[in-house]
Amino acid sequence: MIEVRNYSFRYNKEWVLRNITLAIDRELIVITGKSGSGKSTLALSIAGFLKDTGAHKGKILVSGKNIEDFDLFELAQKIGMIQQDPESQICTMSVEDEIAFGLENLCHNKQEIEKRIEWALSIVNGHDLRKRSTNSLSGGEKQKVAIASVLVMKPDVIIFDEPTSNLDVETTKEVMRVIRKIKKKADISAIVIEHKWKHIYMYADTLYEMNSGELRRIENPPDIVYNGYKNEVGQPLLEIKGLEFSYERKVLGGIDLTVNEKEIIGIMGPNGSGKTTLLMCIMNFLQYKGDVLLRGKSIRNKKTPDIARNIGIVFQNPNHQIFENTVYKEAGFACKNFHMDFDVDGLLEKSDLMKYVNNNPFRLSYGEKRRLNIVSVLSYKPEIILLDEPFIGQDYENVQKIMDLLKGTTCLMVVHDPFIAETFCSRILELRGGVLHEVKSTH
Amino acid sequence: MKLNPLTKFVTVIVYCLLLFLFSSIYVVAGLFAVPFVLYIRNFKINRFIVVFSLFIFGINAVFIQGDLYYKMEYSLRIVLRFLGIVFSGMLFSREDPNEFAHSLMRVGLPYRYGMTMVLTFRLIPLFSAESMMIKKAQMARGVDLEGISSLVNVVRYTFLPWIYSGLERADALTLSMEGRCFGIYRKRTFYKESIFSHYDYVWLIFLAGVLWWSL
Repeated sequence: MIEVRNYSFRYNKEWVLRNITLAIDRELIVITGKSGSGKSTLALSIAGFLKDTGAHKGKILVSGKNIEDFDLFELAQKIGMIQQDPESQICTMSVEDEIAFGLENLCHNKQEIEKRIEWALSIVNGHDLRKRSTNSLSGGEKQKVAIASVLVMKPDVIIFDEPTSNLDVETTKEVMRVIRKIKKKADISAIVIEHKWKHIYMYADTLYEMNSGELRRIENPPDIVYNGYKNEVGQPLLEIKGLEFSYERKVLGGIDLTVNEKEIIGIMGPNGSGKTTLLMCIMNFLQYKGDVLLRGKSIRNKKTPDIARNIGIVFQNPNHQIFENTVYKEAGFACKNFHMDFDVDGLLEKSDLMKYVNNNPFRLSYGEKRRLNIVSVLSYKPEIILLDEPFIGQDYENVQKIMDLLKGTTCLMVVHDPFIAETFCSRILELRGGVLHEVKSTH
Repeated sequence: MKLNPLTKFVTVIVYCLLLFLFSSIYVVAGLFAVPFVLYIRNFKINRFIVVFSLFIFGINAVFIQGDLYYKMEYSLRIVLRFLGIVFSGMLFSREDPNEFAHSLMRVGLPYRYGMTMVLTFRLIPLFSAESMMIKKAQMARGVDLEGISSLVNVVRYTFLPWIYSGLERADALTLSMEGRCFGIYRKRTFYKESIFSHYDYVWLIFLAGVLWWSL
């Protein structure tokens, strides 16, 4: 049982959480809200990780006892936490070691650990993962292992901080079913924090919305309305002909695709189906069979930097593609490398980043970093932009901002969310079994 | 019969000692042959090793004083010792590092250090994937990675993203490990069975005997 009573928290001047009251007793609650609304801060507060930072008013009680009076490890046994990126919370090399990790730290004996591993794996439906090495798991499998490794310690409550934002729709549902099962079978409360609530809210007992640090209970999920648009389609721009790529097994088996000017094409498909590989082939990062033509000319034998002048690419992780120490310099980074004059003021204004021009780009929020990535590609005006899952970890408002930035640009984007795809893409294709299939409707 | 990685590690150390304890060219050649045969049965030899060995041989043969036979014997011995160390080391590097770290903890290495080792092995592939990704992103933004200025560019534009994503990863890992009570007590238990078998003990006693005899 967890009770939050009139709790407020601030890191420095401004209150991030305001007067929050919440009681959870054996239920599954979902807290939604925009990025920066304070959801994650609430999660960290409840888990006791913010005890020594910032300032707070009010209190948080766990089984009737103030969390101030717990030490870190005592609290850790009561409250488990799952984070957004499954990759970065796994610390051992085999699934068994990973799940046993917490129990080993608590000095449980072998028989007890064995029993509990069995139990945890049966709840997350993961018996087949048991003998695997952690490096060989897919994103969804990693998240299941991360969940099992916390579940095995039998906490009173598990906090899931955006547990599905790196996952595709099918895997998201599967993980949510696991969370539901945890609540039901293990009698453990779950707090799920997620801004991408569309495939999630139906699993909740109670729904909450966080808005600028204030929490309120809601009956129905908030509506999402995107301001959609469809670009006017022009001449063929990029043609992919019979593209094949193998890596140990055949990943892409004959891709044919024509992207026309101003067209926005969405590529969907399950995790691991080769969507990213396709983009990497177009940029010539990988050696492929077949041909890729840009305005009728083959770019198969061109070097990546030469291709990049005409084809921009935005990768998944924003941190891997920021190179300069101010936002302004970062926005013009590619222009400088291509020896072009640049004028990024308009783009920075449009992307709402003007106020940060002299700040360090690494200190921006996740959503702002993503917009900066896109600005730094748009700034040198490539003919077409490839985007690899640009909406991961982005709230609805930011998705709209990103799409507004891309208006009028030819895009080939890998996208997980069918709703976004339907609103903005002129065509949706699904990559399955190494081949592209036209998708008429995503329902 | 499968030996524990720690036993194999001790074997490699003893083996290297033996290489230097004996100076007879025949014994050294015999010792060299063991890891060499094991190695070429399973793996291909890197061309660099061949070139480098010839280089060592040549250097020694030129600069050592003495008659031709002595020169040849001396240089050959150096090369065989070098290759013996290289091949036995390469064989050992095929071992499961996870098991090795666990064995070390079993024989008394404090678990904080042992788990740091495990964590390092776990993170190496992630860091290398990350570096590849950063390099790709650089190429895609037109960074010149060829020519003399490239080295400066690589260092300058790899450092920042590396550090920042590393810091984020460290934060997440700390949360994940402390959240599962890592470091709560001075000792911790291990789920995996003790991985030392009778063979290990027999083999270690045999090694000790060989070492004692050759001293």
